[in-house]
This record gives sequence, C-alpha cells and structure tokens, in this order.
Amino acid sequence: MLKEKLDKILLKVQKPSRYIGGEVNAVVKDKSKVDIRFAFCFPDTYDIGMSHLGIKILYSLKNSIPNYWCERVFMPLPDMEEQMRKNDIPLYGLESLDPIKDFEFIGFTLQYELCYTNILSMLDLAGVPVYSKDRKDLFPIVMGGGPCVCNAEPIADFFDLFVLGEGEEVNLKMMQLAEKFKKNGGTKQEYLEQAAQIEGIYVPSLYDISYNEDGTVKAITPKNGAPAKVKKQIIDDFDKVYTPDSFVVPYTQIVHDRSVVEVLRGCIRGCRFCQAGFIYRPFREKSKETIVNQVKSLTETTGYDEVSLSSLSTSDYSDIEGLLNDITEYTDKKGVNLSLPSLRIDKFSDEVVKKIKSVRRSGLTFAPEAGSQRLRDVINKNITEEAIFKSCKIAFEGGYSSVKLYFMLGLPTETLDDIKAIKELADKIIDLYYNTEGRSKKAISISISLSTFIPKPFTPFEYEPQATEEQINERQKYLLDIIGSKGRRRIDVSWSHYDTTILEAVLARGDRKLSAVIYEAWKNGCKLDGWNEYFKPEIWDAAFEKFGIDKAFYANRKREYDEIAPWEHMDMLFDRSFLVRENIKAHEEKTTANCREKCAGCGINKCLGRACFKYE
Amino acid sequence: MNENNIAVRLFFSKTGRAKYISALDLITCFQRAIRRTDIPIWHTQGFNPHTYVNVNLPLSLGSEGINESMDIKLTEQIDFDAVRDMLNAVLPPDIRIIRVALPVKKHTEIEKSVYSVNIVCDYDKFEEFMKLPSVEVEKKTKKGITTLDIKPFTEIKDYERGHFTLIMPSGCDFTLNPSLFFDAFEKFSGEETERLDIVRTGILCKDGTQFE
Ligand code: SF4
Repeated sequence: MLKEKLDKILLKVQKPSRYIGGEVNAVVKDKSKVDIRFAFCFPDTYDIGMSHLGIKILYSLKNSIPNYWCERVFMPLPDMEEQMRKNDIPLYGLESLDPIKDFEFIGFTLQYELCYTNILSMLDLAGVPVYSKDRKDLFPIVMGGGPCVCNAEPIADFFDLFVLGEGEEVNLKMMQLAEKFKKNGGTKQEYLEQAAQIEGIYVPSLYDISYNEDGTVKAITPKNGAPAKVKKQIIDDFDKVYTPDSFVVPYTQIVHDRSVVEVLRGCIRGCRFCQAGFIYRPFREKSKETIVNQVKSLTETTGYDEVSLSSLSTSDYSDIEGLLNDITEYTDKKGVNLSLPSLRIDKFSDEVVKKIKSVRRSGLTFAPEAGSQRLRDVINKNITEEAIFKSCKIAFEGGYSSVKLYFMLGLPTETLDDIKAIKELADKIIDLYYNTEGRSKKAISISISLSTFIPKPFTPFEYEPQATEEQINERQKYLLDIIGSKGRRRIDVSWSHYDTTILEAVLARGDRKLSAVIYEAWKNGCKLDGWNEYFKPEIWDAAFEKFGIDKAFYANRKREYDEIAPWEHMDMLFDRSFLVRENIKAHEEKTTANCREKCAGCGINKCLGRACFKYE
Repeated sequence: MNENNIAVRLFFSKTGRAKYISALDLITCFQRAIRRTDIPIWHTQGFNPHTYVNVNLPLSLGSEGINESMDIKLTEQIDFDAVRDMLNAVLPPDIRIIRVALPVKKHTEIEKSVYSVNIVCDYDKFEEFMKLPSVEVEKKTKKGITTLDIKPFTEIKDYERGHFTLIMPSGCDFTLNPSLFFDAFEKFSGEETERLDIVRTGILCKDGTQFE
C-alpha cells in the first residue's frame, strides 16, 4: 500500500482527492480472499473517466464475483505524474492503493484514438514494459476493450488481447481462464492461445500481417488455431444486460456529476459517417419497468440529484412518451432532475414538452451535420429544416434565445454551396426568432461549431479520403467570409484544429506499422493528445518522418472497395458488402430508411436469428 | 425559517483518505449522503431548494479532524442515534459520525483550534525554530500580501521530540492556518519536512470551553 508515500505528495498536486479513492460505493475487498485482481484503466483523467458509463458497468460486474477484485485507475495529470516519478510511486489502483503491476489484469477501455499515448504512459508509470513481446510472464495480462477495438491495429503491439463488442460476458470468461491458469500453471503463450478460442477475444500476436509494395495490406493470416475472423459479442436480450445498482460517487466535481441509465443500445438511423451507429448494431432497448427501476435504485444509492438517460438517440425509444411519464412521476416526487441530452423535442406532444421543460436542460442544440438537404441525403442524416424550425419555435416560445448548431466540414461530395447553406440555415433561424410571438427580449445568439469529418472503419465512408488541410481551410474561410464580421456578432463560429483531426484520422484507419510511430511520439513526450494544452504536433510529425510514414496515405487516400482493410479480420456481424452498397447510394445522393421503418439488409439479423423489429 | 425545525449538530471525524476532501466537496458529500437516507431533512427554500448543511469551521485540506462538526435541520423529531447510524451506513468509510446533539454554542463563539501534531524532520533544527523570538510569514489579505509575526498567536504545549499540541486562532475574524507555521519552518530549515501529520482534536470558544 502506497498511502504513506502518497501522503507526502498529494498536497503538492491539484485536486488531490481524485488520486486517493475512498469514495462512497468504491469496492474494497479482503485481498487474502481474492484470486484475480483487475486494474480497470481509463486512459484519460479521473474527471473524464468517472463520467463514463461503460467503466461503471464493468466495474460492478467484475466486483460482483466474490474472488475477483476490480479497481479503478486513471491517467494522472502532469503535476501528479512528476511527483510519482520523483518519489518512486508506481501507478496504483484507487481502491487498494497497491501497484497495478502485481495484478493479474491491466485492462484499458479504448474510447477514442487520441488516448493511445496515454496507454503507454500508464503502462510505463506502472512499471510494466509497454510492448507485449517484452512482457514474458503470464501476469499481468494487458487487455483492451471498447469501440476502438474494431480497429486496434495501431496499438496491437502493446496489447496481449482485446475484447471485441459488448464485454459483459467475455470479460468474465477471460478472467475465469486466468483463474484456471493461476491454479494449474501455464505460460503466457498457452494462455493467449486458449483465450483466442473464446468468441470475441482477439489476440493480435496470433495474426501475421503482410503488406503489398504500395503499403496496403496483402494478407492477414491467423496462426496457432486462432480464428480467421474475430466475432463481435452482443447481448441479445437487453433487458437482462447487467446493470449496476450503485455508482462510485466522486468527491470532486466531474464532467457528468449524475447517475446515468442506459435506455437502449444501437441506433436505427444509419447515418453514414457515424461509427457508433454501425458498430453497436443491432438496436435493442430495455423495458420501461427496467429503466424506471434502475432510475430509482441509482438515485437511492448515489444521492445524486440528477439522473440522465443515455443512448445514441433516446428519441428513438419506442414508447418515449410513456417512459418519460413514468420516470417523471418518480423524479418529480423525489426532487430529482431528469436530464435528456440530445432529445428531439419536435416529436413530442405539447404535454410532454411541458414536462421536459420543467427539467434542466443544457440548452437548444442541433446537429444537422451538413448545411444543405442534398448533403444531408448523402450522409443519410435524417433531420429536415422543418423539424429544426419546429423545435426552435417551441423553444423560442419557451424563452430560449440561443441555439447551438453542429456541422462537419469535409464530408464526401461537399462543395461551397453546401457551406453556404450553413449560413442560410442560421439566417433562417434568426428570422424565425424575430418573428416568434412571445419570444424573449434578448438578442438571439447562434453558435456554429464546425468539426472536421473523420472517416472511420465500419462505416460506409471508410473508403473515403479525409479532406486535406487546404480544403478545410478554404471552406472555413469561405464560411467566415460570407457570414462577415457584422454577422459574427450574432453568429459565433468555432472549429477544431486540423492537427488533432488528422492524427485521429490516421490512427482510426491505421495499421500495425503505426505502433512504432506511437511509441516514438510517446517516448519523446507526447501524451494527453486530446487536450489542446498538451498536444505536441511537431513531435508527432517527427515520429512519422522517422519511420518514413506519410499521414496522407492513411488519412487522405481513397480506398477501393476490394482493398483489404487492416481491420478485415474483425467481424462486426453485418456484411461488408452492405457498407459498399451504402457508399454507392451516398454518391447517388440517395437516403436509406431507418431500421424501424424498413430493414436495409445489413445482415445482422442473420446472426441474431431473428428480425430486428416486428414489421407489419 | 419554520420554527418547527430542529437544529442539530453532527460531530464527526474526517481521517485517512478523507483528509483530501476539500471543504466545498465535503458539503456536497454530506448532502448526497443525507439524500441516501430517510432522514427528515430541512431544505433551503426558494427557487432552487437544496439540502441545508452548514460546516462550522472548515478544516484545511490535508489535515485530519476527530472532533469536526456540521449543522443540519430536521423537520421532525427523530432519535439522534438513529440519525448517526443512518448516516454512517452511507458515508464514505473515512468520515464517521461520532455523535449527534443539539447545538450548545454558536459558531461565532469559536476562537481557537487545537491540533495534535506529529512531525518527522531534523529535530534540532525544529527545536531551534521553536525558540525563535518571532516567525514572520506572508499572509494574503484583501489588501494584498502583508507580513505578519505569527509567533504571538502560536501556542505549543506538551512538546516531546516531534510530537506536540499546537493551538492557533481560528475565529470568525482572525484565523491562521497551521500550515503557515510549518511552511515557515521549511523555509527556516531549508529542507523538505519528511513527514507531517496534523489532526484537529478540538475547537475552543472565547470563554475557553470546548465548542459543542
Ligand atoms: S438487419 Fe436490418 S433492421 Fe437490423 S440492423 Fe441491419 S439493416 Fe437494421
């Protein structure tokens, strides 16, 4: 236990309570009765990680097994890391304050590509070699889960294994196998070969990758009995999915200080740029009773005065009105706020809108993603101007005077006309505001947030080039010009940095050749790349150069439909040919109906052995 | 305020890992804990009602306390031991309610804090430091940074190599954080203190009695 050493340094760092654990509902076990210890690492800071729902689910699940103990570990900020290194304090679990290098598992959740250097930092700070090949002992096993596993190739060299898809069941199987090995003995190689036989486990060292001369993948060859395709795991009966009845409640304020109930998984929409919409298929929802019960039990065990419903698109819950009625009946009585991020209010009756209004919301936000209807058809983003106007009108009448709009620049087939449409949309909202009776007396403020489109694996746009820096700059400048300095008094425009966007694009569709680049960048000081104040693009560029790797090859190159993708051996349960069909339709500016209306034939129903919806 | 409210004082300890909880976070922590129980708690009235809790004398970050107190208001009479037990069941392990009682003193009567200190350092130097006629420190005030001799306000009792009782002012109008004294010592000795544990053991009122 490192408590004494920590006492010496904690008063020298910002917000020390995030480095010491001991929160309400943190699980502390008797070490002597535990067989498998799991360090659940979130490769970002405590404040961000503690807001994440997935970590809470798997934390509780693992701890529900009496002889398994799962602890939380986060990325220390530089002030803390410096103190830890100076005082020889290795990375530790927040529950026991024991060094994690002595645990059986070190598991990372991989939520976004820009956290990759944090993984190396954390392993190194733990005193564990960062390359899998340098870790010869059976334990600790370094594993990863989460959405980035659908293409984990850029970090494959650092991991012993990955879990693809919903980890609830696979994680336990993986730990049971480790328990067997701990009892009966065995080598790491033997463990990994047996683990590869568990459906949903991907052991990267059991696949040989060869490349063509042009740098593209030639073949992915499994060895020692590993399956040719790693099959994503899903929990079909979502009502039975494991849900924690309590959350660890932090002392310090974190990003989302509230309890969260997941209402559904997957998405019916099929927006062509959205990776989540594809990799979390099929759409499944919990019953009303289950959701209401979870709202109650979490409120009671955490003491939070706010609960939020989470999913990719809560408006698509089949009986959303009924659900909100049932929940507010409880939350109103308890004086608990119900927060509903990104709910589309245009779909509701006045009665429900009134109810939602009575609860705190972050404000009026829309994500049309593209300015023109043409481009929205290309990306299959089903939101019309009429719907936006209808919601705005309801909100303006209710006293709102600011609107936030999210767009992407660099979408496939985008032209300056589509950019112009962004401004026109903002203008129309301004007109609507001033023509709304009973609006607030304040001047309207519109904020436009521009991100750069990043093509992601397992989307119909995985074949598309990312727009170049010049193209993005040109479009940004054009938009600013047509809005004009006068216009910008009412319309505020913000945008993302191309440096981080292109890095994310490279890592998203990267292959194993990038492991060396990531290592090099980290060695030279890159970490916390997702934080503007810590991001060091020059070091990354030097690392790419050192290995003769061209970022444009990964980011800005168009791929043919028959090119072997670095992630070809991951089976997300839908047909790859579906992505090609959707890509072709995109270029034809044709939309695809949502899954509830009509099955688009992605093929996942074959895996389920049932239709996703009961169609008439 | 409703006259049926019952003001109640919770005496608690805040030790171990909980010493890193800031005063503000401690309030949130108690509010959430109370919401996890069925204690009939009074809420502040108005537009945004919240669970009323009031810390009598915040403890500085990094110090432990074994006789801290916080005031709440009940809307109905319930057994004080039951309040204690309900809260202990839902508070973090390093915050324990010791007793629940009706308040005797007003927090404006508070004058001094009593700390039990353990220090690991170069004791000869520390003893030399204690004998200094004055200890000048910089203190931030509303008017900027001023220097102040804290020696006359610092009382040390029962000294035994590295272990002693320290009494310092902590009233509404004049308060000194014990870290001022130890920071001054580090400056004096020119080296980092090996270990320092500060535990607030009591709070004294102007009339010399314990705050209760
Ligand atoms: S099988 Fe049909 S309904 Fe199910 S996810 Fe695929 S496209 Fe949608």
